[in-house]
Amino acid sequence: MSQQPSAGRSGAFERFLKRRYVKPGEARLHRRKIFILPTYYGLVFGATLFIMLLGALNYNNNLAFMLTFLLGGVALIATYHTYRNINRLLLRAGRCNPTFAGQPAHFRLIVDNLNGNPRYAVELIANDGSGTRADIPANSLTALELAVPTTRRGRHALGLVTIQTSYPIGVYRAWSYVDPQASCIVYPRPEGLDRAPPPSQSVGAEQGNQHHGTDDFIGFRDYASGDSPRHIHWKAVARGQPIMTKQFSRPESQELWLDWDMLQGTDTESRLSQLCKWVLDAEDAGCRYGLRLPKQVIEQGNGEDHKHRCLEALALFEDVP
Amino acid sequence: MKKRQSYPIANSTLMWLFAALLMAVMPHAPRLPLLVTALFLVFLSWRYMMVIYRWQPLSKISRFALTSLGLAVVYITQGTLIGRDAGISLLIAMLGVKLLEMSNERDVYITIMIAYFLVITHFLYSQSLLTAGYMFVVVVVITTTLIDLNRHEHGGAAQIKSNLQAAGWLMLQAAPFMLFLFILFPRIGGPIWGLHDETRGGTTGLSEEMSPGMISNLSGSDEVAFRVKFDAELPPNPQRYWRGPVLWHTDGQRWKASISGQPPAGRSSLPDFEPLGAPFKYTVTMEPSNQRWLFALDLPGVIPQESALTKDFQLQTVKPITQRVRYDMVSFTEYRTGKISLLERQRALQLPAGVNPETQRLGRRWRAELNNEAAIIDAALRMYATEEFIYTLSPPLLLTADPMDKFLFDTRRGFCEHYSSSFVTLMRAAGVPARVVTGYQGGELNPVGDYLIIRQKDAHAWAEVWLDEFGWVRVDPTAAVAPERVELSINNALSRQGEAVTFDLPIGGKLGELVRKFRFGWDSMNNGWNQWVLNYNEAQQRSFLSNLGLGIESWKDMVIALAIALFSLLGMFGAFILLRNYQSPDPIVRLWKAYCRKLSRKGVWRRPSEGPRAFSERVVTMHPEWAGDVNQITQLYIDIRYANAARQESVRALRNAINRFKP
Repeated sequence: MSQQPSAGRSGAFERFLKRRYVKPGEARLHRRKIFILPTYYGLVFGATLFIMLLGALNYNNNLAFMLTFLLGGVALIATYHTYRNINRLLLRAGRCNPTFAGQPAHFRLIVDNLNGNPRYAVELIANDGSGTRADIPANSLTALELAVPTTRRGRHALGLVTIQTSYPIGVYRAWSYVDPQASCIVYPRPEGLDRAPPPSQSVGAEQGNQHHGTDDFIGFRDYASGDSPRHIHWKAVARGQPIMTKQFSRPESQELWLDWDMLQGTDTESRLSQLCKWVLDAEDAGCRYGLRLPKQVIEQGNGEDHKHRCLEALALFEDVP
Repeated sequence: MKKRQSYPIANSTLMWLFAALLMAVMPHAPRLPLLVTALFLVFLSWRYMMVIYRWQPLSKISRFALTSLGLAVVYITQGTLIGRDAGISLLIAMLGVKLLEMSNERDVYITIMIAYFLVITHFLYSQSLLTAGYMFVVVVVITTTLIDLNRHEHGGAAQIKSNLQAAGWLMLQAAPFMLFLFILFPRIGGPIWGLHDETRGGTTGLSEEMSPGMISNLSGSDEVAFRVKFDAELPPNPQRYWRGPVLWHTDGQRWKASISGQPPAGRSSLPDFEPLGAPFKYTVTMEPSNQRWLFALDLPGVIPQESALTKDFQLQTVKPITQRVRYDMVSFTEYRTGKISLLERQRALQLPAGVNPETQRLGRRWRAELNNEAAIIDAALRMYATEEFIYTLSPPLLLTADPMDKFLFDTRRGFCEHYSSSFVTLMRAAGVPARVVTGYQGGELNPVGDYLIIRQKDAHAWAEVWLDEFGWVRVDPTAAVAPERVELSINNALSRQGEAVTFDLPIGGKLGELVRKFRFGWDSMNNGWNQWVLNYNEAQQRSFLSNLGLGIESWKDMVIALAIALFSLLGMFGAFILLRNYQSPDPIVRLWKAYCRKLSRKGVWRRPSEGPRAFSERVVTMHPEWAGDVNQITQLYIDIRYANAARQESVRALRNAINRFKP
């Protein structure tokens, strides 16, 4: 379910630049990758200078010439300043926490400024137009966050990112394209009927670990992956003993199987949304729950890791006929 | 142009903008109608309040109303909306309105552009060094506003400083470009379209008419008339007579060039006199006078371009002098002029019948008694010197039909115009051809720049008489009364109403010395500014470029030279700005960076998180063929940096290893 970056909004020239100059992965900006053109305000500035030049010529006014030429010089060297403001930046993808469809995905991009110049007002812009702007101090790593809206579950690729700047005087835009290969897992939108899933009949004794709830402490057992960190016997760990998990007794009825087959009659996405909501509710209620999908079964468990494992399975679910 | 997001305008940007506008507008205030200045200040304060107290922005209707108000105020106070003065009023009024409606980034950009434009309008009124310096500061502040607008984070004293610094650097770096553009940008002679009438203000100076009081009025003015730089030696002060309008015709009270106002003697293409001494060569830089006289030491020996020499040795330009001009001149202070024509003799003896009868009688008596020109002149000068004549800046008014009579026989207090005109009247009555010459006398030597400053207060009038054996001879009757006049300059502050004139004697004391030094230094700077900056016009450009000897002749050559200059400057500047920050002062770090650069050319970048060992491991995994060199270099580097190995040899070894390394 990966979303391809849409190229529909960009012009032919931009498409050419992107095809020609962008390589996936970590990127260092340099002269062959940075483009620079006047902005709209640059054209206004140029027009102002032209009018000033005409005035100077007409009145044969040498100070007017000097001012016009001084500002002309500023306009010329501003190209370098603007270009230098993003030159030699190193960009790579950082971590992106999963999100739910409909909520923004917060892509983190690490901008590495390897030299002694602070960079001012550097903008990152995602393919869909959402952007962020920040100052990047000298000799530092800065994490910038791009909040990109999501609509569908799945693996959301960030796609090409435009890095651009107009500093210092706004008359030029220097920009470059990078493809940091960042992606974000987007969970289904948690929605559906506001009801709890029916408790699974056969749970209970068959599983033999009914005493894992959060009510009464009943003893220790060996740690198994997926156990909630809250239940780890940390004091023992601190003493250098093997990792043990505390066991608690809990009513049987809160052990659940969240089953794809329980939701017949609706389409795939609604089913996934319902399952997603159940997972969240079950985790909130402190239940132990498992997930049964047509091609995948996640055993019962609870805790953050377990929840995310389940949600990821839902996010990346592929409907095979 | 696309994908530019709009960010809210920071308060700091607005504050910079307010300061910049205030600085750019206020010098216009004395020239603007009071109402326009007030309107602008009210609008500016209003906008300031909007920022500070978060007042609501204006509605569309009130903005329209304010725009109309601005237009109305300008139209009512100026009577028009077109032309220079009204245009500037309009610009400032509309700037005020724009401030109030300014809401987004685009508005701020437009306002900043208008502010830049506003700076240039000041130069239509003044191009002095002070104006230039002040406006430079204004431009820095405007540019700072522009930079602040383009910043992401705002606020803090540190940022005020860093923004100002950034703007200052931009200006400094732009300066060489300005210089080359200024020198090489092809100039055209006149205006593209005529707008010039209003640029002429009222200037003081000599004119083609002399009436009592005219020159004594000038003597109160310290304004510079012209400056003179001599190639070699200066003539002594008594010989420094700068010749201007020559006046022939009198009605008994006023003196004019002729009845018609035109010089009566016609023009000549060559100076018609026989030089007797060595020439003085010098360059005159003359301030605009709105008149047509070029001033030269008596008598001018060459004729500058676009001017002509009249038969009575006046240098006149074709068009009135509305801009500063510079001309090279050669003069002969000793000379014998040519013959006098019948018409000239007739004009040089003209006197109105029945006016100043006493004076005429005295002249006729001298002719009868002495019958010798030299003796007559001598008698007149002796009269001025021995009888009780006083030289004063504020002589009593001569409100009578016979002013010369009243002056010579009654008041006897007068200024140079009184002495010269009464002298010429006497000479004419005695049958000696004579005329009045006006101009300047003396001048102050500026030791800093080694040139003479001639001010309006140096204006003077003297006489010329015709003697058969010498031609026209200069006689200065004022010198007979006040010999100091031709030795020292007049001191205005000390010359009181009706009192005898005092002259500039060197001020004593350390302070006086300091003041004089400062005054001369300042004038010298102004003179340099005038010579090299303001006076740089089409002709100067051509002669400057041809003197360079680079073969830059036509405007096409200039454009090519300009393009070459700008491109090479940009190249040098680029190298400077892009490489400057990558040089480390530590030679070891430089070597290591050189090594990393070599690798980066092959596509292997050192990540900032990687130490030398981790990096070299990665390099070796990617390119096992470089293992030997990489390991050696890395080991040497680590030893030097961290193990404090014997430095000299190790550094050399590291350098050699890196130089050898050819990935």
